Amino acid sequence: MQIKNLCKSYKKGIKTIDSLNLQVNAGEIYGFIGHNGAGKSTTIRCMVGALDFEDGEILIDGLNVKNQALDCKRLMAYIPDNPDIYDHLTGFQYINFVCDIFRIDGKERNEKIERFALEFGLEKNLGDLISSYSHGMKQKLVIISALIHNPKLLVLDEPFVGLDPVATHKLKEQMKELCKNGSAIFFSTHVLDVAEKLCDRVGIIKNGSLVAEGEVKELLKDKSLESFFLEIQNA
Amino acid sequence: MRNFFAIFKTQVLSYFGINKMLKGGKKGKLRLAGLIAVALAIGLFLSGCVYLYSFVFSEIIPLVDIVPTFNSVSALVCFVFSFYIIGETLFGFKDYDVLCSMPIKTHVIILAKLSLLLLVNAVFSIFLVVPSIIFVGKSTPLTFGYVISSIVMAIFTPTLSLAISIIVGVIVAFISTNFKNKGTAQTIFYFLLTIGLLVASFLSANPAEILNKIAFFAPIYVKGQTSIVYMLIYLAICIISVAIIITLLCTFYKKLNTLLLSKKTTKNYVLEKANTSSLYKSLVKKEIKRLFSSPTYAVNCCMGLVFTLFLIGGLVYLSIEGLLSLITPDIVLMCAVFLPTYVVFSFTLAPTTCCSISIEGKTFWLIKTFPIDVNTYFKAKLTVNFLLNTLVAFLSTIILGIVFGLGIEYLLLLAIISFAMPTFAGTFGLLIDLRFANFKWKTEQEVVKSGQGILFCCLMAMVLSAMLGVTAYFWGLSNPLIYLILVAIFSIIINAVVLVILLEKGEKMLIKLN
Repeated sequence: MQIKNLCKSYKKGIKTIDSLNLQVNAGEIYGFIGHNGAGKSTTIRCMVGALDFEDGEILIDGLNVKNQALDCKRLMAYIPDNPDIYDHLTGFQYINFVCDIFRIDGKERNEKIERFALEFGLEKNLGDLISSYSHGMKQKLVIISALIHNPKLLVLDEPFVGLDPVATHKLKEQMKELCKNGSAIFFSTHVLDVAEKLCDRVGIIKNGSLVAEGEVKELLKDKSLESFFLEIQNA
Repeated sequence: MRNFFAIFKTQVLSYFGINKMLKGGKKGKLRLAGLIAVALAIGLFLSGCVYLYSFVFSEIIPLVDIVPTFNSVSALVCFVFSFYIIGETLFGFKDYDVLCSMPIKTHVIILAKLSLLLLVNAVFSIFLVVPSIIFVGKSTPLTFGYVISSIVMAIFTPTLSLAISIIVGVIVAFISTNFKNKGTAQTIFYFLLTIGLLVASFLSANPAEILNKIAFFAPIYVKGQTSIVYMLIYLAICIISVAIIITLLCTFYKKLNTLLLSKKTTKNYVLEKANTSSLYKSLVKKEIKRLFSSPTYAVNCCMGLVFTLFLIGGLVYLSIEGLLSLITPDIVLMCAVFLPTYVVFSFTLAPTTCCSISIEGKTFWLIKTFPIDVNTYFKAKLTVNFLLNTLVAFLSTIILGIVFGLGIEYLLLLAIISFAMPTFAGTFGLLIDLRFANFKWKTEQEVVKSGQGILFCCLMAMVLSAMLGVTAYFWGLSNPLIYLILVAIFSIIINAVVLVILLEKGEKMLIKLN
C-alpha cells in the first residue's frame, strides 16, 4: 500500500492531512501513531474509501483507491474504532452478508465461520441479534468479518479498544499469521507498548504530516517508543 | 425547569437537522428557511384538504358537528402517529445513559422527551381544526368564545391521544419482549392495530358516528365550545389523564426501561449452515430486514400497503358482487379517472427510499468500505420500494380494473400509471435522501418522520395528487381517456427524469456522503 502526497481538508484552507507519503509492504505490520486529532482516522478513512480526498493518490497492490475503488476494497478489510454494525441482523446473518459481498463460496464460508467463531468465543452467540451484543462482542464480530476473506491489506483503527485480554491475544496472533501469509497490516493505536512489540515499522503523524518513520529498532535505538513519541510531540 | 428546557432545546435542534443548518452559515440558514416553507406548504395543503372534507361532511352531518368531528380526527391521527414511536421516544433513546447519569429528575427527562411530540401534534391539530372552524363560520355566524374555546381545546386534544398511546406503546413493547426480533414483532402489532382502527371506522356508515364513539370525549368538546365550565373540564381531563400516565411511568420508569430493553437470546445455539446469495439479493434481504426491524420506519413507509389491504378487505366484506350491482358505468369511469390521485396519495407519500440512506446512520461506513457497486446498492433500495409500494399499487389497480370491468385501454393506462408513479417516488425519495442525508440521528424518528427526505416526498406527493385531483375533477371527468393518456405520459417523463439524474449524479452524491 502506497500513499502519495495525500491531502485532505474538511474546511477550506485548513489541511487535516498535508502531503502525506508512506508505504506499507507485503508481510509487514505498520503502526500509525499520533495525538488525538493528528489525522490518523482521517488517513485511514481515506485509505478504505470511506472519505473522499482532494489531492494525492492511494495505491493498493498497484490499484488506485479513487479510480479502482471496488477492486481495492476487495483486497482489503477495515476494522474501525467503533464497531457500529447492523443491529437488526444476527451475528451469523451479518457474517453471511459479508461473505456474500466478498463472494466467498459456501463450503469455505462454513468452515471459516466455524473456525473464527470458536477462536473468538462467539460460537454460542451468533444466533442472537447484534443489538444484544456488548461492545467487545461487536468488535470480535467485526474482526471475524474482516479476517474471513483473507485480505491482502488489513486496516485497523484502534483495534484493541474494548477487547478482552484473550481476544486481544487472538487478534495479535491473527495479525502475525496474516503477515506470514504475505498480507500487509496498517493500524493506528495509542497503546505504544503494543505498537513497539508488534510492529515492523511505525510512522508518527503530527498535525497531518508524517514527522518520523522507520523500522522500530532503527528508529528507537535505546529509547522506548513512549519516550520517543513524547520527544516528538514536545518538539 | 432549566433542565427541561436544556433537554428540550437539544431535541429541537436535532429535529430536521436544524442545528446543522443554523451552524451552516448563509447556505444553512437558507436551507432552514426552505424547510420552514415546505412545512408550511404541507400544513396549508392539509388545511385545504380539511376545508374540502368539511364541505363533504356538511352533506352528511349537521354543521355543528363538523368542528368536533375534526377534533376527533385529530385525536385519532395523533394517536396513530404517536403509538408506534412512543417506545423509541421514551425508552432506550441514545442519550439515555448520559441523561440518567445526570442530576435530573426522571419526570423532567420524560416530559422533555414527550414535549416535542406534543408540540408537533398540537400544531397538526390546529391545522386540522382551524379550517373546519372557518368553513362553519362561513355558513353561520360564530361567537368569539366559540372560536377560541374550539382552538384551545383542540390544542390540548393530543395530550389525551398521547396518554392512550403511551399505554398502548408500553403494552406492545412489553409483549414484544417475548420475541427475539422485537422490532419486527412490534411492527406487526402496530400494523394490526392500524388496520383494526381503519376497519372500525369502515364498519360505520357515518364517519362522525364512529369517530365520536372512539373519541369518547367528543360530547364534552361540543359543550366546551359554548361553556367555559365544560371547556375547563375538557382541558382538565386532557391534562390530568396525561399527568397520571406520566406519574405512573416515572414511578416504574427504570424498571420498565430495563424490562423493555432486555433482549431475548438463543440458548444452546448450534451454528447454522450458511447459504450463499448474490450481492444484490443479499442487499435486498438486508434492506427488508432493516425496514421491518423498525416499527417507525415500517409503519411510516408502508401506509399505502396498509390502506390497500384495508380497501381490498373492505371490498370483500361488502361482497364484490353486491357492490358491482350498485356501480354504473359512469361511476366506474369516475373511479378510473380518480385512481391515479389515489395511487399518488397512497403510494408516493412516504417511499421506503426517502430515508433509507439516512437510516444507515453510523453503519454507513460498511457501505463505504465494502466492495459494493453503487448501482447495485441503489437497485436494492429501489427494489424494496418496488416490492412494497409499486407492486402492490400495480397489482391492486389491475385487480380493481378487472373486477370493475374497465376497458383494455383504460386498464393498460392505469397499469402504466400505477407502476410509474410509485417507481418515480422511489427514485425521487432516494435522490432527496442522497442530497439531504443525515447520519447523526439520536432516534429513528428524526430521519423517518421528520427527516428532510420524508418532508420533500410528502410535499411532492401532495402537490402531485392535488394537481391530478383538480385536473381530474375539472377536465378529466369529461375527457377520461385523454386525461389518463396524458397522466401516463407525464408519469413516464418524470420517471425518466429522476432516473437519469440518479444514474448521472447518484454515485458522486454517494461518494460525497460521510
